[in-house]
Amino acid sequence: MPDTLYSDTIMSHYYHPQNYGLWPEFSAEQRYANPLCGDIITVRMRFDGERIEAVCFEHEGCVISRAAASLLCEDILGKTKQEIREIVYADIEGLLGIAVMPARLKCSILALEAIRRMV
Amino acid sequence: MNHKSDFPIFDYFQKQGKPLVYLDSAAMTQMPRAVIDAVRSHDEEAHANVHRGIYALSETATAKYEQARETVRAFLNARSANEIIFTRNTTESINLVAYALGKSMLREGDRILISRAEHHSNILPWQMLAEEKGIVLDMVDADEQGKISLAVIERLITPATRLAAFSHVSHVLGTINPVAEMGKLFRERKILFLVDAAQSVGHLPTDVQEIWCDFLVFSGHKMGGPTGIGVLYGREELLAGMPPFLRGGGMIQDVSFDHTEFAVLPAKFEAGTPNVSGAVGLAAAIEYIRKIGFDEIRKIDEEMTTELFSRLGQIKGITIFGPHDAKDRGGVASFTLDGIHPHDLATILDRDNICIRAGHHCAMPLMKYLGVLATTRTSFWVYNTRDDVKQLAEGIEKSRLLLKKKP
Repeated sequence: MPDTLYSDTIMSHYYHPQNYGLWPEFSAEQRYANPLCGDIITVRMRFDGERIEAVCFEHEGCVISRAAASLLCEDILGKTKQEIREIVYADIEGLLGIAVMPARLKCSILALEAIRRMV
Repeated sequence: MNHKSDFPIFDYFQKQGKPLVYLDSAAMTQMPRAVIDAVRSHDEEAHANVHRGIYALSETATAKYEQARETVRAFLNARSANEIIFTRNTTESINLVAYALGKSMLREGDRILISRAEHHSNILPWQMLAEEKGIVLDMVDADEQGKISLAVIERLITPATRLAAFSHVSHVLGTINPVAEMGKLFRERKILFLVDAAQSVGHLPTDVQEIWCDFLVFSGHKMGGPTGIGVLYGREELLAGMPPFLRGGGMIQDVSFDHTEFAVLPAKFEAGTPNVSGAVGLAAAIEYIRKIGFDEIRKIDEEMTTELFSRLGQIKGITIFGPHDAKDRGGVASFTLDGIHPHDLATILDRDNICIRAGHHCAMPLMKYLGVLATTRTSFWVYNTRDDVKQLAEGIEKSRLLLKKKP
């Protein structure tokens, strides 16, 4: 039976995160930590005017926070800052394809919280 | 002997068909039936405010509240019930001491000695004094076995060191610190000594005169008692010279609009209506511990720790922090597992109703020192059995298999 939380999609993004590794040129950088568990993410973004031209991240933490970061970074490429400001927690659940239990919510939104602080 | 049957929660989950494997007693112990019953019968038969009413019911409530104080006094071998202050928990007790000492005895340039392994609640109140009063914090490090040596402490003591605050048992490393030896050292140097006994008071005999401490603090909910009740033990002559922490009802002798004369101990530090049924529950927890006996509790802690090291020690990529000898440890152990984040492990174990703690355990300075972001912590009390540890070990293997499937 497929595991709902640790699904193939989530495990795939955990082991092969997209846009992983920080490059040196960027318009904005944000480091963000989950105060509950100590998970840490650094996200860098390059803007083309209002549009997200590129995004990359590095991360230390759990499966959920890394997979969510990978999925979110893929998703926001090409979007406008305004579109990113409109992303809500439920959208992260949509990307992960699961309902996130309350105890793991903070994990799933780690990257979003970092990205929100740059747009 | 199996003590699980004393705790209704295990029966409840057994009947649900989801037996509970509870390994988070360092955060909160389960309550024995004796405590639940004591609180309920107090609520049903003696619920009234204390030290106030001129009626029999209030007198009954007051008598039970003060009897609880006497039970705590005897449990700690304090000289007088005036030395026992009821608070909400360990955190409030330490804040009370920091606030009151900051307002009275401590001056700019005075130094406070703590260890890096302390809980945030034994760091932040002193940090407040550093920020507000210019007091200097000195930090003792544990060695690679998680032990704090007296020699290292001695090296950090200066003539300005006024207070030392250490946990009896580390809530992350599990180390039992030599508080009696520390107490002697600090007393000889006229340094006030606060012992955070949150992780020890339900596990090891505690004698404040033997430790020679000036303050000792703990919570009811880590020793079988209810939440919202904690204790500050303080030497009477010190408490008498300290200003009150909270102000309001129940802690005054005389009030006029521009002046207040405070009540004597212990009322001076118990402003507002106290947690009466909580105190009654705490006393029942102490009675329960007495009945089981510290020899038995100690035996269980050592047995669980030994089982943990033997089962988890076989798992590849595991690092268990703190002393390796069960004799040097309380009922707490933290570990990391290569390639599996504590949060993921906790989630997967939770599916089998195995409760463990994952995170930084309110000890971020220690986590930084250990070079980890988070650990998994397992902790024991009287109800744990070797089978609980076996289920934990099996759960870890299960997690490893689940998370190893690389798509």
